[in-house]
Amino acid sequence: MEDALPKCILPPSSESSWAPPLDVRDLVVRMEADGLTGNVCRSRYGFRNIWEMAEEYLPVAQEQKAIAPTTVTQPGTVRGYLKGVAFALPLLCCCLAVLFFKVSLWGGSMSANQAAAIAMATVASFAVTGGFLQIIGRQAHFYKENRDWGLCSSVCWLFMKAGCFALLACVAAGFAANLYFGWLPFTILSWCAAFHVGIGAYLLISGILYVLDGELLVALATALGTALVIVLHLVLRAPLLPSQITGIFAATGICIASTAFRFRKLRRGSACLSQLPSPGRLVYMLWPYFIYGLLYYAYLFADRMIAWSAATETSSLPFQFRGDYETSLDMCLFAFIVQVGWVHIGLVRFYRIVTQKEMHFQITARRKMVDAIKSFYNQQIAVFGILFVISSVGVVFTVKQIHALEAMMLFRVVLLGLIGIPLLAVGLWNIALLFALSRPTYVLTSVAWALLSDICAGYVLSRLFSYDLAIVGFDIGSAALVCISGWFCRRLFNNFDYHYFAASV
Amino acid sequence: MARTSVLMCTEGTYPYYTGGVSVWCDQLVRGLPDVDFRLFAITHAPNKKPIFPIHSNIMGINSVALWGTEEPGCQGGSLSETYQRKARTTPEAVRNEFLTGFADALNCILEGGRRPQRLGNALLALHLYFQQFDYKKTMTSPEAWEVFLQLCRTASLAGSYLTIHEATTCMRWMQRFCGLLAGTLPNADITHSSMAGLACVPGVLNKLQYGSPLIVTEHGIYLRELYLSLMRSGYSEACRRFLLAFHEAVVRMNYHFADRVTALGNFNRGWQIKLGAQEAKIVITPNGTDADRFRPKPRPPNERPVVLTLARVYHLKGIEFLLRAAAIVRARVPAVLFRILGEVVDREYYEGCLNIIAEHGLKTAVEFGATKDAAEALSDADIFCLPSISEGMPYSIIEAMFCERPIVSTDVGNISEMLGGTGIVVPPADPDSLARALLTLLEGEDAAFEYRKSLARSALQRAYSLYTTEKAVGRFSDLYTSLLHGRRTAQMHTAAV
Repeated sequence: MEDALPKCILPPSSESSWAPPLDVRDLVVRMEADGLTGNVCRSRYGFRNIWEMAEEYLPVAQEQKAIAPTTVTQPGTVRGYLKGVAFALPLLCCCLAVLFFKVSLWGGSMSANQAAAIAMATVASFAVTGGFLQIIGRQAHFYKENRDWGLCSSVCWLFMKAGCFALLACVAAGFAANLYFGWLPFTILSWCAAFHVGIGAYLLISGILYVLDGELLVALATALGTALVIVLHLVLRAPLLPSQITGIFAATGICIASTAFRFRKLRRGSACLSQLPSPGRLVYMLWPYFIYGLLYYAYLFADRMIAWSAATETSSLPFQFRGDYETSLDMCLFAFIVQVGWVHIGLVRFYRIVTQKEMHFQITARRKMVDAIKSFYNQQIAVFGILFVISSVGVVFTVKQIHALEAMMLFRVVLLGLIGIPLLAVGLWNIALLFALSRPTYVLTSVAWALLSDICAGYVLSRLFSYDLAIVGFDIGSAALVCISGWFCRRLFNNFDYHYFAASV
Repeated sequence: MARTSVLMCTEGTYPYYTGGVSVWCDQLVRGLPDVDFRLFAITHAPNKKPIFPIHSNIMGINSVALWGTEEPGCQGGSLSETYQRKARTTPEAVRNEFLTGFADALNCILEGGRRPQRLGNALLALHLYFQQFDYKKTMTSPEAWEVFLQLCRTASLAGSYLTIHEATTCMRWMQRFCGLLAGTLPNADITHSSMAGLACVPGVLNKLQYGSPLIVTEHGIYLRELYLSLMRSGYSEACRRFLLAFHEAVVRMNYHFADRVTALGNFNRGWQIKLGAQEAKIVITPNGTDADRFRPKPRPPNERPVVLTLARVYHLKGIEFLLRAAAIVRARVPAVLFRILGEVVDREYYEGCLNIIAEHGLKTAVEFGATKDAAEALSDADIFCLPSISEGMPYSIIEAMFCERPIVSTDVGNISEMLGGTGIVVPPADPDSLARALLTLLEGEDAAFEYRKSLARSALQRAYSLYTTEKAVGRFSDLYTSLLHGRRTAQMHTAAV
């Protein structure tokens, strides 16, 4: 007769997770799966049957300690923060290029009309692709979480194609409108169309690469595209616009090639045996996210559009590119990048804290869970406050120190922008929470009110006083965003356990 | 005469996934061209493409995805229907029409299935509710959540209250699993479920609504497999207890409503009885294999005797014990070659096997590989060996029997019963016994050859008498006929009364 404990009673020597048996049946199953059949229990251990042996060993088996599954280590605060600001790397690359070479992927010195037209084309490409970027992020992330790379790649390419189609449709509409109104000469309009499609495609493919954690690749492609512009324009003396178009399409091409390569690698060995939902169902599931993308970019650019279209008496176009206004906003953008990095890290922390508290509190202590979440939210707002002060002081100090820079911008816009930017960052933090709790309609309501306030206030002030007061519209819109989205968040927090459950299915 | 219609219910198998159960379903559909089949397939993700041919007697497929979808319990229909359904699902509707059935079902589940009839009725009530109201909106309503928490407070799953995390996990399972109640269920003369778990629920609903007879066929034992997978799942004790209680309640309900429960052999039958199936309902229906594909072929002359194993490489197949036995056998029969053909499922386990090979210097005596033609591989072997530590009714054994190969296997699952003395059966996880059995078939040229031949011949005869596809399919055809006859007689009797 064997004296040694059967192997299945003890935790495994490897590091895989394991739990002691719940009952006799559980132990019998484990014993059978370990080759301890009824006959073996009789002949080797002297029991009448496997059930008798399991009864005997159950107390010992239940005393064994469970081995918890190994959890994925979350990135640290600094790494998380860097990941949060990684989206700004291409922007940084463009800024550095302008600083050192006076030319970048889509900026440089050009005539007023050219600048205005191309700026409009660029803004339009953001607006048109915004919705697609949101639904790519949403649906591709969902398949990524399920490790269904076949569907992930299908949905990305589908939305990329749809986005490109929308860009081309926008170009066609632009040409038709120009034919009627006669705003721009055909050549400039063609350059606009090329910029619009090129930048739009670049944004779409970057969005896909972000889903695949390819932030550095996007930055690299942007750097290579910018380098190509510099070589073509400054070394080979090619005209600026064709050089930039070449650079943009080169960067887009690099991103497309690396995306295709990544997907091929990820899909290797897993046959795609699933199909995407029908177009109707995709629309039904994703429309709030698409509309959010549209509204968000509209809100982000609304004050510019209002400023560019105000007091255009000296321009032959119904809009006029305002370099000083734009440069002032660019300075504010640095503060925004510093602050918005915290949105990503705040969201990671939110999931961590929710999981911790959920595991800690029993269903009889739901109120305590609500208090813990509210207190966490307030702490994060306090962190935003600190970041707001640091980044704003940094921007003001920089502007005041570099007089050449100060001359290129409107200090009033910088100051007013620095009020709106932290509000926008907090608004985005609220939006991230509302999305995490699967409440896209609350997000839509918040952004729609923000946009409406932005347009109304900005329009009235820019028309009554000065075009640069369009920035006040942005401030008021951001305040509306914070108030409404914050109110929704607090409402959800009051019944947090329910909303978190409802969002998790 | 009207054709018989059968609603075949599957879960994670036919027609979307490979595996033994899928092969069996395909055999049944192909083998009964006079029966119209409609498939109700539970899948792990939506929009799967069938990987089996859709035969002409398959009249339609209803698929329900439990996971991988943002809309569990997706109810289909036009946009306006969806909108109207959502609009109808008000908090009042949830409170008045849904909560009673939901609480009833949940109570039955938390009790572990002691009241199968009541659970069936509650699930039917929920199914009828979901024909009018929106699934997702109902299941994610605050009212449903509150009732769930309230009932979990009264039940003690692991000696204390659930944490919020455990409650969320358990309710999420409820929300996923109950998704299959939301779709429309096709009716048929008979419902035939290929397992005793969730796949069988449509059969219970059809039985309660239309009186359609229900057959439950089990290849493995649903709850037994659940216990195994939960062991390494990492879930808390309360979550494991909830999941087991849920599935046990469902399995007991299915056994309760089933007119026939089929088992591959007595090993499975024993488990089914333990889990509440009535002995009188259980019928043994072993699997069958295509005898035309697996024919006896004389073994070409070869100086090296080949011991073949057809099995996926992971711990349940006991390859490590075969390798340790191989070391003993090789010491006495140096020319022997162990050929192990099958997909490597567990890389770590495979590497452990390679270490055993290195440790015993078996590099020239063992070869790993894969084959798409099991018949060809068997024709190149002298002995078939399956060293598993856990099995149901492995097809590879039947195939080896049809190919007239002597078989050495372990005494697990239904293997002893399958072989019925026409092969050698040894205790599992016992390399010495396995080696001894192999040596009786390899040592002493003439005597061993004769022994091999006589075992193989009797295995072939047994295979023809029990394990042809025709026989396997015929058993179910007979079952269908007898159940339909019984139903018609009962209907006539009712009409006469």
